[in-house]
Amino acid sequence: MPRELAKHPHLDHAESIPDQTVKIIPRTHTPDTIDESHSTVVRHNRDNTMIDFLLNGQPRRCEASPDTSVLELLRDALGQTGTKEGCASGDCGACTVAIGEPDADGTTRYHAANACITPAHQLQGRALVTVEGLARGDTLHPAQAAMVVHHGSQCGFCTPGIVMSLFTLHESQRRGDGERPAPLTPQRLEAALGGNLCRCTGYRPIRDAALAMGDYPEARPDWLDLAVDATAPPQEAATEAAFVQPTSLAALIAERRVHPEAPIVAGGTDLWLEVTQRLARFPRVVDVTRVAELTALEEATLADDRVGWWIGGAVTYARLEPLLAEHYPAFAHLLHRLGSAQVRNRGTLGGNIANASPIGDTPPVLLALGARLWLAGPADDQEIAERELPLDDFFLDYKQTALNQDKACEGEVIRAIFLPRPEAGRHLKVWKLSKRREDDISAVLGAFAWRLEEGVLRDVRLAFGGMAAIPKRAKAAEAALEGQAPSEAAFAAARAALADDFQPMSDVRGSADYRRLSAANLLERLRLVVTARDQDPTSNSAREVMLDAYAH
Amino acid sequence: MRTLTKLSTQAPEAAPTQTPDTRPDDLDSDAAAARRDLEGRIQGSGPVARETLGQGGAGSARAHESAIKHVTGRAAYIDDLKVPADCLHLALALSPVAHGRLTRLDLDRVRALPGVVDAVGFHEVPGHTDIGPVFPGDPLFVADTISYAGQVLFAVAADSHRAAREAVKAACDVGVVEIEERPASLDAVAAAERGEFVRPTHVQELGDWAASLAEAPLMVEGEQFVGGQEHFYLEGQACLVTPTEDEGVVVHTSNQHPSETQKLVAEVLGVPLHAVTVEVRRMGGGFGGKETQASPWACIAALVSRRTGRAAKLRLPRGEDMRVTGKRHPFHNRYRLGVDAQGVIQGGEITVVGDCGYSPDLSDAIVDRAMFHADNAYSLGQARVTGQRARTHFASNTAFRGFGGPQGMMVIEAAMDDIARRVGEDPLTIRKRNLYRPGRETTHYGQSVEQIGLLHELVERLEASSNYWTRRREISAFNAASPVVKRGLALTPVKFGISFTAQHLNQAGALLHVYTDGSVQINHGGTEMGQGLHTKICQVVARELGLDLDAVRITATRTDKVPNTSPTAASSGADLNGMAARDACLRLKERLFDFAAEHFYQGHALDREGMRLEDGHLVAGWGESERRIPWGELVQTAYFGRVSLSEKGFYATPLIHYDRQTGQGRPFYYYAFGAAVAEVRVDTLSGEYRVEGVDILHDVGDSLNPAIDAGQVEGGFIQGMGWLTSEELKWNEGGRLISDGPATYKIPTFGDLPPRFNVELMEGHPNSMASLYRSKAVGEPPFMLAISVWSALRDALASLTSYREAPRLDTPATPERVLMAAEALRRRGESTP
Repeated sequence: MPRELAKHPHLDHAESIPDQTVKIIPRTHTPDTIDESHSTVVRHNRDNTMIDFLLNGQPRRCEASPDTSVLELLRDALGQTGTKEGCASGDCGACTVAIGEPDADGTTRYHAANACITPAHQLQGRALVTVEGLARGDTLHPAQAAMVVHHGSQCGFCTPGIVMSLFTLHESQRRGDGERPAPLTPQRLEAALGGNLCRCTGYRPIRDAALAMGDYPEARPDWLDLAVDATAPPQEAATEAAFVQPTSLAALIAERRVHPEAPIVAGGTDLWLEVTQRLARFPRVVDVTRVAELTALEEATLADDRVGWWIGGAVTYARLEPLLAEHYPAFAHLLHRLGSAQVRNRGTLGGNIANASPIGDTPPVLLALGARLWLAGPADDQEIAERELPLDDFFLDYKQTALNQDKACEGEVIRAIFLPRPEAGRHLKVWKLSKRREDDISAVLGAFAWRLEEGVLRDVRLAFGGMAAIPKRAKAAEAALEGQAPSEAAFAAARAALADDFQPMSDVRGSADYRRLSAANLLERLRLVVTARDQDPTSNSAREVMLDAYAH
Repeated sequence: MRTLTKLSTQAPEAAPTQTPDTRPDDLDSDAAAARRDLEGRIQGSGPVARETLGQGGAGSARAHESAIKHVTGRAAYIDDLKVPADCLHLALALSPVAHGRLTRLDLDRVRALPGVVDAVGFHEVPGHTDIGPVFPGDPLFVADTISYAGQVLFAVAADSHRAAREAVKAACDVGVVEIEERPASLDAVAAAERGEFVRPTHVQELGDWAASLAEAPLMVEGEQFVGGQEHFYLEGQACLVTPTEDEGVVVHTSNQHPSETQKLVAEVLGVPLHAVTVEVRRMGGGFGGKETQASPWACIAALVSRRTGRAAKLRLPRGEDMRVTGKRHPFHNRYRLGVDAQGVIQGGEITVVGDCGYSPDLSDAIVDRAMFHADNAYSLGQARVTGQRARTHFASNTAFRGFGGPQGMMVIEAAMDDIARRVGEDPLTIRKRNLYRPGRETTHYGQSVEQIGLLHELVERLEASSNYWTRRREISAFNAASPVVKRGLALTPVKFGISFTAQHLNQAGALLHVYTDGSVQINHGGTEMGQGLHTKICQVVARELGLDLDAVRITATRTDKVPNTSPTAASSGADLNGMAARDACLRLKERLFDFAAEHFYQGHALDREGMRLEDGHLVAGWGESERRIPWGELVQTAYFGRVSLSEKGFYATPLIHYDRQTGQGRPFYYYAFGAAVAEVRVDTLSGEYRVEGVDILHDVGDSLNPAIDAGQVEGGFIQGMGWLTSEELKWNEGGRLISDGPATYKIPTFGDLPPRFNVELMEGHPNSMASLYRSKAVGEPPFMLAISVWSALRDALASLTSYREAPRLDTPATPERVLMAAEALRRRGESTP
């Protein structure tokens, strides 16, 4: 997942997260904004631009620097302290708020987000709902009332965030698009609440509140249905210090031509940690979430006749989910292990790739599926230069990608990712190993694609995360399996070949030994899956080779 | 009387807690089915609602007194308090190395940086520089020796939180600090072998342990590492200090021990204690992490506040909080026990080595408590228990729910599994054989275990209700046929001693005010950290005064209301403070009754003997001669009759004593019991596992509030499960914490709630001691129920050896540790076919 501080697992022993006594690591395309004079001076208004949005139904106009978070805006500027800071890294959910955006038919739809790592300027023209806004006078919202009745709060510090996650769940239940509300299965509850840590209750009463809130009489502020379409237009580059929100690829590339050093933000699920954890200052930020081309998701046929979809670089995991659920359930399942609802609502596939973390979760899957990238950047002649390349060619070395390999690529962005349509007979398995099942970063992730043709394995692609400095295919292991029957001997050779493919390192998530052993064991699991499938694909009596909760 | 609170209780009351689904079936059948499905699987998911006493008095499942404020965001935590316009914000500079010397610190240069209002370090402290809570050893700032990575070098004050943090970074970048690094001691066992302790070793001994070990038919031994735990209170350490017009300060702090912070702040400032007032309204979680380790921040902020004459706020960002504060002590435990052919312990020795970090803090008492619980619920026979307190270059490890008890229990629970495999019996059989029983009821520290019958009944009831033996047979059959996925099952009991082992802390005070409108305000020495203490205290007062719960308002804990208080710790909050509040109520009642007997004399006197307060009335006499006087009238009349409507209460726990010279005594007023059955499913190829079902039966005596008590049991269990499974603290080779945020330190989340989670409070067994309404403490004991999860994981792994061996499984038992244990068993199996 793209939530990794710029940290190489291999370097954990050496550096970990720098503290105050260690100089900040300069970002590749950000000037080092931390100089002595800047770092200690209270920001001046010249750096700031205005944000127009609705706060709990009331129009607000606020001034904030480009690197202000929604949480800082609420707590510091507006004095709204109901929303809490628990970690300032998007991992605990105490700061959960709901952000309303117009959907295709203009209705306002609310999604949960971590206010601590959401840029305040992304509220431009949006509706922000916080825990203070939910009660209608003295009447609590069902999410709140159910929490009280079911003893869902103890210390109460995580409670505002829990209530907001329950609120967005309640909204999606009542919306239903004319259909019945989907049943609140354990999986759905987990998907809605997995991003909210509670240290006191053990979650049982919170689950009961979630299950019960639908039975409460509707008590919901009327202003929730206000349209948020055009409170204010997005912010184009107005000043030198700004939060820039281009709406077209042309405008984005024009901005990149002038300010290639300005960081790009979409979900902010990784970038904003630079601000909250490393105290980075961003005098200028480019928001790609409103670039039409980058938010498009369309079917396409490549030059080589492969069919599939071009997924815009700024398409969120949440938007991607229905497509994956239909075509790649294993991939869709991974999204739930990759990040919480708050992260899935905001994190993007393009961000996960461009961030190039060795433990990003989607790149190994995309490598196994043979994905391609469509890059766009400024050309010499005021035009847009575009190119396409296989994802295999994108990751070069630790945090080095085709985007930043040389001066010629300066200002390039990921316009879209090509996801091929599943082919008949081709299988995909995605297995992620982490200390905690939900919302954790992988120790090892294996993504395996293959066909079984006349008893032998074909088109075997085995990609791993957490095993090298980049997400990487296990070419030697692939070769050991390609064209072979799925025999114990072939897989033993593949497991042995992993030693040629990878020399993993020890870090906070796992030791090198564990990584080596578990990666090899994932291939053994693959053999058990392939052969079970081979013997009797419909058999229910097949012996369990993994746990249900992890099987995908 | 008038309604006194304007809380919007309307909605929950209007909400149909039990109302059947009113939506049409066809619209909602799936949802309803899903819910029914879930509910069917989770029995006991609702609190045991015993609304027998009405009025919200003690014994009823009332909601948390702040519940509505929690869900609306109105409950204020330290960082939410409105601050004066000139408030300063502080940030800390922390040592990047675990051991060394601070050779240069140029604070003048720091003060000259733009935006910096003040900078303070060791030499700026006017009073005490050592704030060790019990024993010296905790410097407020590094003077010379650096003892852990994260130790505070200096603090910077600026006009905003961000500016202060940036200033610290800028200061370090421009080189105001020079450090001579030295090799760090990071191995507690090696430190103990070198004799490097923060406190002397303590021994408890009963009988001739060596002889009984030598004579026993079988000797079983083992060792284990039990990992530490980060508190991960959701609200980090925080305080806000304002200067007074005198020489003192008012401190708002997220803190379990306001009186100690008052004392330390006064000593650091060099002023009398009466110049310092400490207030705690609530904490966003404490768990022991704010017992001693909330004080330094208050001291630093107070120092800046007095120097500048301005308010000063210090809150720690999560990463700094995790690096600078101590954690649950990691322990290295060893045991050698002699057992008979039936697996019953005859005697032996147990050694527990606590990794205390660099200073004593509370480690003496914590390692003591590990020793007091090295028997858990089992008789050790003739045994010696030795506790060592190793000094290492880590943050000073501190109190955490259970206070060493869980780490001590782990060693005997490991032994139970090991003995079972050795003698070829089911672990539950061995556990039951070893439980304290008549004739074997004396602990290794000389206390006789009471309520042994309750312990046995509790274990047997859970054994039956959880279908332990049926499941055992199913699981054995499943495992025999399943090479990769293995299931495991375990039942483990808990016996936890209740009282501070430092005798003087077992006291409490309360202050009760009745105002002329009849509304009641109660204050006491305990602090609210989410455990529902304030709710329980309000219930006690409502019960004693016969009032509706809404008539009783609790106020923030303040050192100027109830002085010289003990920490809210050791599960003692309700036991001690509830008794003190009750004492205040009883005294006031007596006064009011005396007054009423005299004053309401009209023709004939009220019957003083049977006088009582109930349903908002003073009631005298019975049946025909019953007289009822409304509470409001009583109070008004008493006021005009010049009767004091304020009272203080006090309580000190009787009977307890412990002689540290002999290692014998009765340190605990009573024991709380419980037991849990956990079932797990383990993928032995990947080390992944799931906790599939948990059954708990727990003893709280006569519950003060079943909803709150059930919440403590469930929350404690899940927190304990996190400690033993996913919560892994990792330091790099230099001793620097690298799991320093929720991205790398994984506490349980929603999906870790077991799909089957049956929690029941044991009923019909009031406390045998005269505790508050015969209730029992509930904060810590349930934490250790989670040992069942760890034991079930070992059980699943043992199936790889056909249950001939219980593999060593250090904690936390992460997927990595589980996989490596499975791999070791497999490899051994291959080499010895």
